[in-house]
Amino acid sequence: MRYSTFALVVMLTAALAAPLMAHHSFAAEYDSKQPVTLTGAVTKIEWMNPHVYFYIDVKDEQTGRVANWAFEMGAPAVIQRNGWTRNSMKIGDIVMVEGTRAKSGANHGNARSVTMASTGKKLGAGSSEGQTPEQ
Amino acid sequence: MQARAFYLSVAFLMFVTPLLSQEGHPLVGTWHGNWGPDQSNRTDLTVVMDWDGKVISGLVNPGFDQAPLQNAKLNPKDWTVHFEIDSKDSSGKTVRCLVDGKIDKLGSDRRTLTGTWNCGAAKADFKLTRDRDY
Repeated sequence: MRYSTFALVVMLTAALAAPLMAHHSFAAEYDSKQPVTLTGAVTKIEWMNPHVYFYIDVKDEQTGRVANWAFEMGAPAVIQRNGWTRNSMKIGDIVMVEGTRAKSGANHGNARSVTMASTGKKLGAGSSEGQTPEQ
Repeated sequence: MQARAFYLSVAFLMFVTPLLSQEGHPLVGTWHGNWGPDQSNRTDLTVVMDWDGKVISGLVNPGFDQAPLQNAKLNPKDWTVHFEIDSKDSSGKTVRCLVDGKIDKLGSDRRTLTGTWNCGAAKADFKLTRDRDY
């Protein structure tokens, strides 16, 4: 019986660990010395816990090349308190993002704010920058 | 014996649930790549596709110059894809583009779509790769 309980705990831990690993502190992934401000068209939105992600195509006007950037926001419940809804941003919307680039140097960042080009409305993105990492 | 069956069931459900969540229409998602008449003349390309259970919809190059997909079809017998868009040629005139391709690496979340991208008399090819979910 004791062995069975242990096996159950191991299985439940394995099942829960993967989603939890997606949650991380700001400092672990982003470099606060690398602020970025980018404007582009929304290509994908992932409204999910623990973080909402959206992706934008940023066009280099000199070369015409397009780079796809991924931006992390806060949890759905957090950004809803900042005025977001699932329909605030749609595929094809032009947005200006202010945020912080990933330490890896990849086209990936943590968004502080998102401004909708069509309306000029600026929404906070629930960034955890400046907060003490969770223990 | 009953305990073993119980734990095997739990383990089975733990692994099957994530696998089931991978199922979906093979075109749904955001695809990036390029198109052009030859390998030295390429233009970056983004296609976003969706499926509502009946119709494939989507956009080519979301943003200022976006074009909605029209007459989009997927043939599941050979995984060929067809869609059309209205685009602008170099003179600004609207031209109908006929896009025909085939899905490869179907089981991968980084599946590819390659084929022809013909706008009016201009013949070109394209290659797209589906973006991985973050």
